[in-house]
Amino acid sequence: MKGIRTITRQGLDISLKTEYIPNLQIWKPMQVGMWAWLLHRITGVALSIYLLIHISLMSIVILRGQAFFDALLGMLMGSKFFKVFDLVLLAAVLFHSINGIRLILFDIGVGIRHQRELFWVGTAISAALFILATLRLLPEIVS
Amino acid sequence: MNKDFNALAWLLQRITAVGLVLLLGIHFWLLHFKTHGEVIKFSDVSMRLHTWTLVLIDICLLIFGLYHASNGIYSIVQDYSVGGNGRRVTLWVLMCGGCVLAIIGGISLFRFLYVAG
Repeated sequence: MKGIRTITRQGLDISLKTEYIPNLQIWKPMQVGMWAWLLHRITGVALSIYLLIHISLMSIVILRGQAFFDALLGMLMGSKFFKVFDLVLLAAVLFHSINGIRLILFDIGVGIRHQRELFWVGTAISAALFILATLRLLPEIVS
Repeated sequence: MNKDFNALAWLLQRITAVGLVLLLGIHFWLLHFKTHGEVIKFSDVSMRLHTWTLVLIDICLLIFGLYHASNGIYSIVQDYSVGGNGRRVTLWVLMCGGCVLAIIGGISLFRFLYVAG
């Protein structure tokens, strides 16, 4: 159990000094950085699961041949549920990628002191792109 | 050796992240926005993937995506201080699973180069 105590003590030191590296043992519900970390992790896991399904399914469909491919994609892409799911997927991809760019900036020492502002800027960019995509896809979902 | 491996994994996670932002943008554009919502047909994909350039882009997307996802999952496992054996098993499962998916995906993509559209 010594390892867990060490990580907690180290995590506490880092979190108190930088307010950037969240630690599971220190839950700060109102801290933006904690939410950014949690959402990044949730979207990451969700996208990993989606990637596993996407690669497996598409590979099987392609190897089964043209008729099967056309039938399955016709069914999926004609479905409104699939189009809505596509938007949800896009939202996850946008948040994870833009927050990831924010994290890479921190890795090279840029903007650590403005991590909250950068989070909101990134979220605004994600939201703007998401709205554009939704407006583009909305006629197909509604029709 | 372990530190070098971890440092390389950390660096590759960043490199694949940047690569994925670009490649996913292309992927989304080609499949969802350029087609104007039309159902994607096998012949359309075959026509697009009859060129080595686009096949290589998709191969890179496949490898970058699998690496980034696997390393991300492994990082989560590391965060929870999973013991030596658990971490080793997770690493091998992720590596083997990633390789299998990469091979299957690669075979599917290369098939388009040799199939009439």
